[in-house]
Amino acid sequence: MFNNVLKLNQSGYHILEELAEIVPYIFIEGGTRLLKKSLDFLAAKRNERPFDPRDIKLKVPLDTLNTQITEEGPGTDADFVPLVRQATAGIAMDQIDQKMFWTSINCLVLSPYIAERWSTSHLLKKEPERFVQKHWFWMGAESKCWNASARLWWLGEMSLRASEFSIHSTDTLLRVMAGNVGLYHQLMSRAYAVNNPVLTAVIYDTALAGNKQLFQTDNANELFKNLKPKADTFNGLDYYELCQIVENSLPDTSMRTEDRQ
Amino acid sequence: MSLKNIPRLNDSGYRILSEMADSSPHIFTSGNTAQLIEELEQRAQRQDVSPYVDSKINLKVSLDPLNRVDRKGPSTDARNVPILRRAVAGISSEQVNQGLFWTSINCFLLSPYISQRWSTKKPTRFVKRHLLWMGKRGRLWNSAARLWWLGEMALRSSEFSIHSSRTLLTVMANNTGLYHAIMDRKFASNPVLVAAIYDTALAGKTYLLYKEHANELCIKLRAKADTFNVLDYYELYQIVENCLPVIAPGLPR
Repeated sequence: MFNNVLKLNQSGYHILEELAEIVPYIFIEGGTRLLKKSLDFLAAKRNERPFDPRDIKLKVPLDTLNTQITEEGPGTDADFVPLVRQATAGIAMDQIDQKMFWTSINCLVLSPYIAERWSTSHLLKKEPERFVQKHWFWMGAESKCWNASARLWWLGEMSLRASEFSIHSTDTLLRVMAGNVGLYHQLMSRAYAVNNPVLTAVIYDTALAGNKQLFQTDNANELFKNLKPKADTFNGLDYYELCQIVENSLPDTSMRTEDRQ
Repeated sequence: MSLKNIPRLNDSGYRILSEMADSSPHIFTSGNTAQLIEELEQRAQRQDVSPYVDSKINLKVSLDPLNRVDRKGPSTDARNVPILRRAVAGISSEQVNQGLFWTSINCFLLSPYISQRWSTKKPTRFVKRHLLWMGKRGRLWNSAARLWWLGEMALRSSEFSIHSSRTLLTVMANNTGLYHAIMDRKFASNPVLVAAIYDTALAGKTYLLYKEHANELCIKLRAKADTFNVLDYYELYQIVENCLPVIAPGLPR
């Protein structure tokens, strides 16, 4: 079935990692077919099987992203999130091996999309091996922000979870998160924020209530630095209590909503 | 005891509560939380065990509004779901399926609500079903867990449905016939299918909300369940349309 994607096993993953070290441009310019051929060739030479017996079953094909991407940068992210979410609907991400799952999709389906999405990245010319590692492979929790397909799934997940407590809709939150990666990346690198949808909702509601400076990386970073000492208490606090804490932790007093009003 | 900070049961505590359900279920049905805790702690002391783990459950909002129930039945469920979801927001996927977590909330905070919400005519069954944990079926019967799952199902399916999560929640909570029929099947974990079923029901096929028709639909769907994982919304919608039950005379339309 055309929605099935071969799922890498440990040995297939290692071979691809080696390929990324030696010939990163296969990933960037070669497309999925050449990559698969190279993987099969090396695996056969080593007498290893690169794939799990069970395929990944997608509900809708994802290779459409390769043709639908029209520009570099995050401009198309919010439009692609629903497609990735629908393709993987019903898959519990905390119960599967994200490393194999997303790397298989990136390498065997989405290589052209990824190359186009980050085509002007400075890392691409300076350190192509690291560029491939970052967007094709899984490097722990930070891959939720950088792994090409995983980050689209997580954008959808974070906006859906936060929408339950936010004054804004899922779609608004998704577009704001996808369009302002400065704040989003800072949030995703803090476990206490990722696991607390009420706090996520409060932060985005505060940012959208006239504190747009929070979308900049430096300001977002300062906010989280200010929040960190109080993070232990967040689990027992409701939306309004968290609102108060976020307001009091804004980076600069001149940014506070009440001061501007 | 703070209303947002409650003890967390351990295995011994849960075992003692199960024993109490058999020997003196009236302690649960009275809705008197203080009496329930006193009895649990006394029994634990006699057996020389602690009924709690060291860490407590910290709720984000008080669950007190749930205890203000004036009638039996599901009419207040949709109202209560957001309160409970706010209280336990950020709960891990492990805790979601943990009987100890939900039983602690039921016994230490919600017994007045539970004894009002359901009939207590068969007290032992009442306690085991609505306060304790019955494995996977706990998602349907355990009082706190079922509210959480109602919210979760509505939220997850709203991502693919043409209806909002609020609409889906209201429909799910007030029409348990269809909801239970879906939750009893493995394909409940497919939010796209759940969305397709509710969208079909709300598009003029409201008879699906009744238990008899819902069961017939789900039995027909089950035969095709192997393919569901690779089908998108429109394909699933078509399948649901093709599996609609035949309405026999005398059954609700």
